[in-house]
Amino acid sequence: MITRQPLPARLLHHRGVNSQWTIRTGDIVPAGAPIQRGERWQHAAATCVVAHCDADTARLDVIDDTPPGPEAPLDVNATSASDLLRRVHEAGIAGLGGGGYPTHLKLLTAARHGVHTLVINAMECEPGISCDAALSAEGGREIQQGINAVRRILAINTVTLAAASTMQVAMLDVDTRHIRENPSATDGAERYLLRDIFNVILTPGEYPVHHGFVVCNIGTLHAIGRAISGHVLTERVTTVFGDNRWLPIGLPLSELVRSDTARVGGRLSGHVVRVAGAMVDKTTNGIDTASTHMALPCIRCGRCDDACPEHLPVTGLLTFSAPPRVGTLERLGLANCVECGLCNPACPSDIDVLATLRDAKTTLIAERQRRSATALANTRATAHTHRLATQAEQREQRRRDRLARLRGATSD
Amino acid sequence: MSATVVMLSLVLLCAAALLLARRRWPDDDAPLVAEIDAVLPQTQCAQCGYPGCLPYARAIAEGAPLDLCPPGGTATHAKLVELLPDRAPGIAPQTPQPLIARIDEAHCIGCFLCVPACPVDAIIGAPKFMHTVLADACTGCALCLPPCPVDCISLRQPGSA
Repeated sequence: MITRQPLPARLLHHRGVNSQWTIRTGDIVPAGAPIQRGERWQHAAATCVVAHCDADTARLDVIDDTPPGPEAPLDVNATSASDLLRRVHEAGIAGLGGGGYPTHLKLLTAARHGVHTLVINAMECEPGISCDAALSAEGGREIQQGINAVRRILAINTVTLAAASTMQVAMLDVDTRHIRENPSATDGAERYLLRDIFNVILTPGEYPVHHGFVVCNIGTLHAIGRAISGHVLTERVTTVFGDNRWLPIGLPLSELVRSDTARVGGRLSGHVVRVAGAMVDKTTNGIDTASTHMALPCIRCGRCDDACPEHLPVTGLLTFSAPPRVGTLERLGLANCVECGLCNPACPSDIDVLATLRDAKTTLIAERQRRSATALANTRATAHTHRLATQAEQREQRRRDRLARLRGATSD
Repeated sequence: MSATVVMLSLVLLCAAALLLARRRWPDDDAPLVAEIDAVLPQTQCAQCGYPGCLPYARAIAEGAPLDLCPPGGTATHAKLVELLPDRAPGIAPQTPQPLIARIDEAHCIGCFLCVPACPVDAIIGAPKFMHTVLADACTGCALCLPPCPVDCISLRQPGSA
């Protein structure tokens, strides 16, 4: 039985990428009403007063804890694919497995590439996280509805279930099943899932859609199913200290954790955050205590290199990560890191290798964005200068022609 | 003895060949200019006093000061100093907040004055038609602000309404 966290007095929200607030300080937001729209919709988990809203953050004071009432449910078989997709978008569904990528965008890309197989990712493999397993035990009907909706949106031929043996998925109507006892810590990464089940190797930069697959987390499918029955995404199941709970999205972490820092995500691939100002978002699949041991210096033993499933030179990456040397990190293949976290337990010096690599990756991505932005500006500036020069030259040419004509006319 | 003579003449021959080659094909500053240009933020804002990033890069290669780029901030300045260590570093400008231009479309009269002023062609529109800014292409250089006769262009944080 998944328990429900009582609503806190206050909810915190960040503005999502390419999304805009629909609220201003002082507004009253009814439960279930959108507070941001655009690429990533977000809805209020309860009736709230907007205590504060600036460009990037908002604080909502809960004034009534009645849960949001459902909108009109859709009949999957009688609704067009685009209406189903719009419902997925406007219910704010995002990848609940931890990716947080907007599901409607994933489905749109899949529709554009044309996919034949839906892979249900129920390979919950992160040690200490069991939210998907708990959800599979209680939300079978919604998951099935989510599967049906995706099947209809993308006109899928085959539905394949990849599940850990802890999942209660016997009643799901799927075409093929792959059940694994004790999955290892990287089995749930979609690229390894496709490699192990379908023998499909994704090269860096490729996604499953490029090979005709769309991979959806089982929790995301549950959320899609609920969206089809009219419930916007305002809560998710999270493993809190080993116990699975429905948490309202926007719940401040300080409601759950008393210490200064906490571990968000699993014990391997999660990360340590400062509790003050942090909140539960759509990607928060686990909350646990952060260990507070001291890291010793790196002794270059190379155990992290051996542990890496992508065979990256982790020791080298670590050396060039602080301070980050973008060119070297790029050449060593940092972009291919899947952030599984297997390097951390391998380290005899207790270095938080993953956190270091993540920081470096953030720098790398920012640098890439800067580079592409400057390249764009450069191209456009060159084109602009060129155009102005050509126009000036044409004007000058016309002037000369006119002059020549006039001279010709007077000499006649 | 003969070995010394042979080696010495070889050295002299090579030196002469190199000198001749240098006179024949003088080395140009193009790679340096490209390197400097790659460091500059490409906002094309002309706040350095040169009409764009590439002209400033050329000017730096010929000895202009390194601290004239306000939008590049401390990061660009640090990279320039790293690239040209024997120059006077000057004072690093403060890194500004990234901004982009936005046209208040209710007040735009379609005068077309801002469109040619934009160094990266990020404003689209036609005479007597409303103009708008392509947010992805805008560099926030503010060069479109002075030409606007109705002051309907403002700089805002990207993503704000």
